[in-house]
Amino acid sequence: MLKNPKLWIAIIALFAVGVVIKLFFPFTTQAVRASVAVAPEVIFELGSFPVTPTILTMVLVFILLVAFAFFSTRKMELVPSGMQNVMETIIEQLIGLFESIAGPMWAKFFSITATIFLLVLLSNYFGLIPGAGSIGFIKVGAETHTDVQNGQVCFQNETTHACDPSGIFVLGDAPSFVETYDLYTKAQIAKGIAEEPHAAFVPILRAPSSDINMPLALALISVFMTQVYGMQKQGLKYWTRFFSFGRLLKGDIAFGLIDVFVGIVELISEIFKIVSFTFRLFGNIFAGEVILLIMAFLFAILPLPFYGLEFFVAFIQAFVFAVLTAAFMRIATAEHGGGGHEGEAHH
Amino acid sequence: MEKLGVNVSWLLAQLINFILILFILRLLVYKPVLNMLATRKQKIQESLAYAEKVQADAANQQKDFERKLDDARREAQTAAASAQQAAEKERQRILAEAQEEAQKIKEAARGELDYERKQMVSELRQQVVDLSVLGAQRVIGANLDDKKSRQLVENFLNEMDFGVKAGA
Repeated sequence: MLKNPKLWIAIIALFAVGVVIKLFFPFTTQAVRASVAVAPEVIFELGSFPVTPTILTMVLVFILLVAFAFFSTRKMELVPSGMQNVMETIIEQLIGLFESIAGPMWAKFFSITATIFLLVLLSNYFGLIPGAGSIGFIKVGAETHTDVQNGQVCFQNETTHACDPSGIFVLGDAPSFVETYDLYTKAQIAKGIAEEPHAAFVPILRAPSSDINMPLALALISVFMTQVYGMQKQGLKYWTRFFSFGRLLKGDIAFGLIDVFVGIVELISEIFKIVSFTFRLFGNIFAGEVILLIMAFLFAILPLPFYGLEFFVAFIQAFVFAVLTAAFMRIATAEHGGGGHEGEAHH
Repeated sequence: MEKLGVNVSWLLAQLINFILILFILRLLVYKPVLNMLATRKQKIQESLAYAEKVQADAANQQKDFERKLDDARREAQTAAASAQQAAEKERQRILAEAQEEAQKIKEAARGELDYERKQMVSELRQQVVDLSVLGAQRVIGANLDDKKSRQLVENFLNEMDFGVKAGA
C-alpha cells in the first residue's frame, strides 16, 4: 500500500478538496449536533411509502451487488480474469466455508446463506463509508403540525413557526441550527408558550443493518427456510421435533411427558432464533454507529481504532449470520436418530 | 416495537429486496459460477489424466529407445570385435603364408645350391680325371687305353672320397 503512489495522491487530493471547501466556502456545509434515534427517520415519502436513509442505502447496496454480479459473470471464461476471478474467489471461499459447516448438504443451502452473507456484509460496510450517517438534512418533526410553505416543510402552531433549514449539514461540534433551535424552544416551553417541537438531524445514508427491519427480514427468511428444508428432507416427521406425543400416546407417561416438554422448549427456541438473529446483527451495527459518533465528539483521533474494530465487527456479523443459518439448516435436515433428541445439539 | 422502528412496509420492502437479490444472484452468479467451477474441475482432472498418460507414454518410449540404443551398441561392439578377430586371423594367415613362402624360397635356394655344388664337384671330377689321364700319358708317354686309365683314376678318386659320390 505504501508503494502505491496513486493511492497517496488520491488521499492527498481528497484532503486538499476538504481544506479548500472549508477555507473558501465555510457556509456551504453547516455542522450540527448529533442526535441518536433507534428508529430510522423518514427523508421523504414515495407515494405512501416512507423512504428512510436505511432504505436508500439498501437500494445502493442492491444496485452495487447486482452490477457486480452482472459485470463479473457477463462473459464466463474457462480461464478466469478480472472481475470473474474476484467473484469466483468469493464464491469458492463461501463454498469452502459452508461445506465445512453444512457438509454434503451445502449446495441446497448455498443460495440463501451466500446471499445473506454478501448482503449483510455490504450493508454493514456501507454504514462505514465516511459521510454515511454524518451528512444529512435537518428535519423539524411533529408531523401533525407541519405544512408546506415554498417547498419547505414547516412546523407551526399558535406561537411558534419554524421551517426546515435547507441545505446539507454535517455532524460536528459547532453551534448549529438544531442547538439554537433547541435552546429557543426550551425557553418557549419554560415560559409555557409552546410544546416542544422535535427537530432532528437526518443523515442521507445509514447502514441498512442499523434499521431493525433488515435484520428482522433476514431472520424471518432464515428461520422460515430452515423449517422448509427440514420438511423437505424429513417430511411430516420433521414436526415431531416440536410436537412429539408418540411415547405419551403409547402409555409411557414419564418419558412421554419429557418428550412433550422438550418439544415445547424446541419450539420456543426456534421462535427465539428470530429474535436472537435480529438483535445480534441490529445491536452490533447500531451500537457500532453510536460508538463511532460518541468517539468522534469526544476527541478528534479517537474514532480511528473503533473504526477498525467496526470494520472487523461488520465482517464478523455477516459471517455469523450466514454460518448460523447454515448450521441451523443442517441440524433441521439431519435425521433424528431414535427418539429424536439429537436435534438438541444447537442449544 | 414502534420505538424500535419495526414497520410493516419497511419490513416488506426488506423481504422483497432480499428475495429479489437472492434470485438475481442465483441467476447471475451462483448457477454460472458453480457450473464453471465444476466444468473447470472436470477439465483439470481430464488434463491431469492426459498428462499422466503422456508422461507414461514418454517414459515407455524412452525405455524403448534406450533398449534399442543398447542393442545397437552391443551389436556394434560385437561387430567390431568380430572384425578385429577376422583381421587378426587374416594377419596370422598372411604371416604364416609369408613364412611358408620364405621357407620354400630358402629351401629352393638351398636345393639349387646343393645341386650346383654337386654339379661342380662332378664337373671338377671329370676334369681332374681328364687332367690326370693327360698328365699320366705325358709321364709315361704312352697312349694309355683311355677307357682303362679313366677307370683307374675314377677308382683312385673313389678311394680318396671327397665325401661326394661321383655321379650322385
